[in-house]
Amino acid sequence: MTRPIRILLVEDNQADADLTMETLEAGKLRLQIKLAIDGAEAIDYLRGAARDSKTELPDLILLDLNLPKKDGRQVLREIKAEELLRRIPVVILTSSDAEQDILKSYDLGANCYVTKPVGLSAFQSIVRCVENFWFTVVKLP
Amino acid sequence: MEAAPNAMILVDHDRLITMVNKSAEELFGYAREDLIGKPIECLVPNRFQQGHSEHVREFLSAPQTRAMGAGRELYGRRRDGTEVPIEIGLNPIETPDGFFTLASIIDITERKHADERFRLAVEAAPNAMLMVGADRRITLVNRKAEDLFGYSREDFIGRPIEDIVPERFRQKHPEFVQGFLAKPKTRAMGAGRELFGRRKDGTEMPIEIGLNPIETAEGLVTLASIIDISERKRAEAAHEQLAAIVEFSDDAIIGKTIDGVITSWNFGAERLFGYTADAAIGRNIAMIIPERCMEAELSLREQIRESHSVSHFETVRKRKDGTEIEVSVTLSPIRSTLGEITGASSIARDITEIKRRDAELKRSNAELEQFAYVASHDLQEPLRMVANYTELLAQRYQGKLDEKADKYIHYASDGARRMQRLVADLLAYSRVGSQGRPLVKVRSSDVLQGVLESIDRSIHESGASIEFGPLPDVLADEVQLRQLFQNLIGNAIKFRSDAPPRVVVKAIPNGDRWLFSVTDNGIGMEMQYADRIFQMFQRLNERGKYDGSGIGLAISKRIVERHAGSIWIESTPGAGTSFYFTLKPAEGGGI
Repeated sequence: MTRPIRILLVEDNQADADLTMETLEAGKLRLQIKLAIDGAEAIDYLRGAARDSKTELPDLILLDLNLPKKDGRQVLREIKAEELLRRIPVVILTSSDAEQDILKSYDLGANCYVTKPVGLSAFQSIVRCVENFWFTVVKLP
Repeated sequence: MEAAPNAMILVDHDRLITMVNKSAEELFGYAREDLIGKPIECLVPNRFQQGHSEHVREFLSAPQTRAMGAGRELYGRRRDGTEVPIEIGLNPIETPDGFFTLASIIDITERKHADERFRLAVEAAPNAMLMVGADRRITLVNRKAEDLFGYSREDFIGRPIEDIVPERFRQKHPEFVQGFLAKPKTRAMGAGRELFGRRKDGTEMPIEIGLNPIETAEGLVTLASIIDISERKRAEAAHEQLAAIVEFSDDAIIGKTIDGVITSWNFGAERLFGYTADAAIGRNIAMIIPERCMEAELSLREQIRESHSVSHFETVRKRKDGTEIEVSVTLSPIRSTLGEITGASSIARDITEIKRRDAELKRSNAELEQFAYVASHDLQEPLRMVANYTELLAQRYQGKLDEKADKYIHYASDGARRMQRLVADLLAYSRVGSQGRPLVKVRSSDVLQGVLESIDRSIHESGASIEFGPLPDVLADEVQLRQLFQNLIGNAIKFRSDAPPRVVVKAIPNGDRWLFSVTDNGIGMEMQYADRIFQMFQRLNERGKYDGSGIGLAISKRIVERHAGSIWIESTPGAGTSFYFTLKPAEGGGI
C-alpha cells in the first residue's frame, strides 16, 4: 500500500481550515494533513522535519498569505531560500485577489496562486481541483 | 503845430481847409497846396460824405472839444482813394477872423491790426474766453464760450457776467470781482474752491477759470479763460472709486518696482502682513519673503521683466511678527506711459485657511475611503465563514431536519449571499479612489473592443447589436475605463425592452473634452430618477426582476469623476436611454 500523501496546511482561520480539510478528506485520495495555525509554527515544523529523519516533509504546502506571527509571504520566502524545502510545491490559497499579492507571490517562488472563491460549492470544487491537479496530474519530486 | 506827430487840419466855418501840417500831408498823400481851400469832405470816403455835413452842423451848433464820431469807426480817404482808419479829436477855435475847427487825426491802422490779431487769438484759443469790463458786462466771447454756455455771441455781449454764475454763488460774485480788480494780476480764479458755470439752460458744469487783467484804452478789463472740467472730474471720481476698491480689498494689493521696492501698499496688505503702509512703502518686498522663497521670487521678476503675468502662484510669505502664511500671488507688469516695464502689481490672497481645509478634506476623504475599503475587505472574511457554513449545513442536513429548519437555513444562506454581494460592491466602489492607477493615454476603441469580447456571451444570449464608430484616445485609467464601458453597456443590455437590444457608442468633441454617449433602445426611465440612479445601492426596479445591487452606475459616476469628467443620463420611458460622459483627450491627441 502506498504511503498517504502528506499536506501541510498553513491557515490561521480554524473554520477555513476545517472546511479545507473536510473537503480534501472527502476525496478519494489517502491524505495526511498537518495544520499549522501561524507562519512561525509552519516554519518550525518544516525545519524540524528537514533535520529529523523520523518526521517526513510534506508533499505539498497550502499556504494562506495573511497569517499572525509570521506573514505568509515571509514563510514563502524562507521555504524557497532553504535547499531542503525549496522543492516542495507551495500553493497560495488566500482570499486576496489583489494584483500585488499575486505578483509578489510568484516573485517569491510560489508554484501557484488560488483565490478562495465566494460560495461553498465553488470553494469545494477549487479545493478538489487543486487536489486532483497536484496529486494525479503532476509528477511531484 | 507843424512839428506835431499827429496830422492837424484847420477847417473854417464853411468847412474849407485853411491849414494842414506835414503829418497831414503824409497821412492823406496830398501836397499842402492841393488841400488848402478844398472842402474837408475831400478827405472823407464817399460812403460817409452824405452824413458828414450833418455831423459838422451838429458840432458847430454846440462846439466843444471832444472825440469825433463816438461809437463809430472813422475812416479817412487818401489821395489815391484808399481808406485809412483814424481817430479824430475836434477843437473849436474862436478867432477874430471867425470860428475854426482844429482836427487832430491819428492813423489807427496799427491799432486796428493789433485789435484784429487779439480777436483772432481769442477766437482760436482752445478754451472758452470771455472779456469782461469793469462794469462786469461781457464785451467779447469766442466760439468755445458759445459752445460751453449755450449763448450765442450776440446774446452774450452786454450780459452781466453773473448770468453764467450759478444762482447760489451770484450774490458774492461782485465782491470777488471787486477784489480782483483791486489787485489785478494774472491768476487762477477761486483758488481752493470748486467753481461751477451755469449754462443758458440752467444746467451746471464744474469749471476752472484763469483771469488775466488787461489795461485798455477803455480801462481795465478782465479776460477770463474757462475750461470745462466735467470729464476730468468724472475721471477723478472713477479713479477715486477704483482706489477705494483697491484700498479696501480683502486681498493684499502691492505695487513695487522691478527691483522689489514697495511703492504702494493697501489696507489688505497691512492686515495680511502686519506692516502699515508708512512702514512698508520704500522698503524692499524681500522683507515679507522667507529666505527659501527668494529664488522663486527672482524668477517671477524675470517673468515680469519679460512682460508675462503670473496667476495664482502659491507660495509662502512672512508676516511682521515672523509667522508664515500661505498665499496665492498674482503678478502683472506695470508700464510707464512710454510702455516700459517699471514694476509689478502683486495681489496676494491668504490661502492658509483654504489650504488647511483642503488638506483636512483630503485627509477625511482618504480616511473615509480607507474605512470603506478596510470595512468591506475585512467584512468579507467572516462573511465567507457565515455563507460557507450555512451552505455546508444545507448540503449536509437538507431534508434531515424538519421543514422549518430547512427554511431557516435557506434564509440564513440567502442573507449571507446578499450581504457578500453588497460588501463586494462596496469594496469595488471604494477601490475606484484608493486603487486607481495614473491616467495615461488610452485608446478607447481598444478598450471597448476588449469589453465586447469579455461580455460576448451576454451579447449573444440577448441578441444585442453593439455599434461604434471611431473613438478617440483619452486620458484614462484603462482598468476603470473598461469597467465604465462594461457597466454602461451591461446596463443597456440588462434593461432591454422586448426588441433585441441595439447599443450605439459615439464620441464627439465638446469644448476641451470628448463627449461619449452610450445609447440604447431599452425600457428607458422617468427623468425624475435621473440623479437617484447614480447613488449607491439605489434601484428603480423591484428586486428579482433585474439582477444587481445597484452599484454599477455609482461606480461609473465615481470613475468619471476621478477622471475630472461628468456623467448624466437622458431617457424616455419605453424609448431608450442615453448615458453621456466626458473625458479629457490624451495629451497630444487633440480634440
